Amino acid sequence: MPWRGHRRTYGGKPLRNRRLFRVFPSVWAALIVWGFSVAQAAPPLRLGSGQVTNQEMEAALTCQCSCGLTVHNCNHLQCGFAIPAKEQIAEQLEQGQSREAILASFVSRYGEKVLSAPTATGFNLAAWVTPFLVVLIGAVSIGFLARRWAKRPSTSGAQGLTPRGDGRPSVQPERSVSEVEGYQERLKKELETFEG
Amino acid sequence: MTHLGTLALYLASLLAVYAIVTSLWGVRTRRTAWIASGAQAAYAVGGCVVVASIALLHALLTRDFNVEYVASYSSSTLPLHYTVAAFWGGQKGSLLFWALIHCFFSAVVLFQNRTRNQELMPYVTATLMTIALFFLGLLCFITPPFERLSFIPSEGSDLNPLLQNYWMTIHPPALYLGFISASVPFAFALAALATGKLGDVWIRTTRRWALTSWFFLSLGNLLGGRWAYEVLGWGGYWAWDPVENAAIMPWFTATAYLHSVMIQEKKDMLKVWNMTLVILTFVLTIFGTFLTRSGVISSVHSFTQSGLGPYFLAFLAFILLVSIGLLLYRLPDLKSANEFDSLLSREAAFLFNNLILVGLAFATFWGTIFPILSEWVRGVKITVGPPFFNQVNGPLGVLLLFLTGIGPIIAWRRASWSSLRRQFTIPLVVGLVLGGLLFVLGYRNYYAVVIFSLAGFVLAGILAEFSRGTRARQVMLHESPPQALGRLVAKNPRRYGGYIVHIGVVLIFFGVAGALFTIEKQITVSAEQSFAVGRYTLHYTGITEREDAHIAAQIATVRVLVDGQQIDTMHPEKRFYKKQNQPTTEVDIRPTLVEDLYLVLGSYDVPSGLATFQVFINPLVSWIWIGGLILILGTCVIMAPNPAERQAFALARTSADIRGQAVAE
Repeated sequence: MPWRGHRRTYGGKPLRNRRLFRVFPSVWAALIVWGFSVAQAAPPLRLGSGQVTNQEMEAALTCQCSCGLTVHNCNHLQCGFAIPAKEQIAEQLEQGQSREAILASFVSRYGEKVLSAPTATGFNLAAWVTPFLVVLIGAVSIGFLARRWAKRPSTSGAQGLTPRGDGRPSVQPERSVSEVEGYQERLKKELETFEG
Repeated sequence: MTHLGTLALYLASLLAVYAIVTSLWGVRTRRTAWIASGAQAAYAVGGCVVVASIALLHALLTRDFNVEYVASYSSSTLPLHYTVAAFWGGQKGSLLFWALIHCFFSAVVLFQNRTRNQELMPYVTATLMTIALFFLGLLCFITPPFERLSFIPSEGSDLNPLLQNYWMTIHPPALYLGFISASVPFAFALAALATGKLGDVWIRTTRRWALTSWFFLSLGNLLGGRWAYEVLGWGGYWAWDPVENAAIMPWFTATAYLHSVMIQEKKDMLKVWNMTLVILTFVLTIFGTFLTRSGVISSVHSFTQSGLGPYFLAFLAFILLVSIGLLLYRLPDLKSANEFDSLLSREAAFLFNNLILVGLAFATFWGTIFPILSEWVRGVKITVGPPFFNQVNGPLGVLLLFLTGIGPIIAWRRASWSSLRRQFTIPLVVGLVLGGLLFVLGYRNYYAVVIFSLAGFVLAGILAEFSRGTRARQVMLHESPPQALGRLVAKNPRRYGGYIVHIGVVLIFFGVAGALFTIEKQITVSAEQSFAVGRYTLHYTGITEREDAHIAAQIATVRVLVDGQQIDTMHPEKRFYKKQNQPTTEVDIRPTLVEDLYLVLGSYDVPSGLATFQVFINPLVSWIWIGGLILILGTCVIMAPNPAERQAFALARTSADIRGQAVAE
């Protein structure tokens, strides 16, 4: 009966340092949290109606005066679009209209381009999902490559001097540079004393 | 003089063709005379572009309004420094400016390598001159800067008022320097692929160039933010405008490269990835230029719509074709040792840092081009604005901040739990205490609490590293603390310069997080009326008017009071640029380390005497600029002469030579 710790193998080789690969769940968790926050923030997927503020509504609309900013941020204080839009938003919110209803009224009048972010429906869903998918695929690839590149931990005591195969010494594993520098300085001082 | 300029541009184009042909012919025939001739021709291209640039500057300074460019971007009343800035203020001039800087960098590279990298240099020359030829071709045949009008206008149209600002005078050149210097690592990468010399030499040769590019991209983006903050008058500094996105995308990939290249240097890994990042960074600089000049997207920063788009697209396709072709051709030779011990290591942290940075670049790219895709696929115009980028890139930025605290401290290869405890206990305690404190103090904006906690975590980690290193020197060498600190940095400028850059980045995050607490108010008041915003009471005393040949301005005087005590007087302006017939707002900002009081005079109604103000209280914004300065200081430290690095470079070059000789034998 093989030892339990040797059951998981990769390419016929046991993964001895699999404990260290447990860091992966935290990466997945971070990505899921990110995806969730994006999905929650995307206009049509917003969870819960809540109290919508004028500022939030103004930020959800793009000013059509060619300033390139949102209605809220438009830098033309006498803007022919932003000012009436702000008044309309205030009026509709006072009437108790929902965020979706207010946005729909603007979209019906000016088209989808008036929204400052794409809706999360149909083709536009790709805008929100694709970056998440790309990062996820990247994370999976890193995980896959890391496992592929993973080698058995060195059993020699001098881990830091394991040759890389090209004649150059490998990097020091665990010592911090300040420690190494301390040793280097000490070596230099002793050499100087010796030579002196 | 302008005829001389035109002639110089044509001559430069011919010489660039000659440089490309002779460099490649020299390699093919193994005749160094041809290669040397190509290099000399490249210097001559630079000389011709200098002559053309002097001709355009001469036309601007002598107000030669018969030249279409001069008439379009200057006027007789435009101040001298803005007249010089008009050189890069318009489409044609900026292309010539691009060619000028590119040729200058090419000449520097050729001079630096006149006795080195002899196998790589012909390809480097050919690549740099191909890029120069593209821009020269545009200047000769598509957008000639010396084009003359059929008449002589009595006055020019003047420079766009938004560009008549100190920051705008220095922001575009800084960004151009960043964009253009990215072509040097790219040229060496292509040369390495073409020659098969894929070792450390090209990487070490271009390390400073990659850093230079990153330095100027950082500077350009910061200055651009500062310009937007002062000029656009909406209270912010970054709006995820397509042109801003075009400037930040190569910064993301260049940052990724500067981290991943360390893995190649230390462990001989990620050769294909680093090559890809160098190519991608250069491609994104050209893509950014395409976005700015093609008119495919509308932006406050872009040049007027022109027919340059197809040429830039064709050039992009050419670059990608050549780069990907060479990369695939050399793929078997780019195999790395790829030893990887653990995910709890600096390599892993850098890999995830690369993932996040490239993810940020992709998300920004995707959001920028998505409106075009939508129009193609659905025929519907949509907008992808700040809410999208904030929601997608914001959390990625937070992850990046977290990794900024991990990467520089964690051990290479494999970190043991004891070393993790040793190195991360203090930063974790600082981060958690800070977060807890903010929570107890009533901060319920969790985004901000997380950013501030992470900022504390990262700063504590970095400062602990400085402290450990300094203490070690104090104990071993009996140096005083300032002496130990100074020598610690001087002995290892790359490592400690990197830490300083990270401090700058953390402070920028800190400042950006302040935007989550912005207070704003718009109010219309008459003279001698007061109003309150946040802890301030603002007392508007009235308007004074000022006029000269160039500008008519209405200047408001607003007294700023806190707790009944006057602390300052502010003067926001509303200007009217006569030549362009365009009104602008000149904000007045009262910066402190805690918050900026940002005052905009929106309008002034003369009959009623009513003035409308937009007031913002922007917390922590000053830390963005302070962080930027620290980041620049850190980059300067990294680029400081480093004997150890020179030694490593010499070793890499010698081992490359030995390998070359062995192969030859």
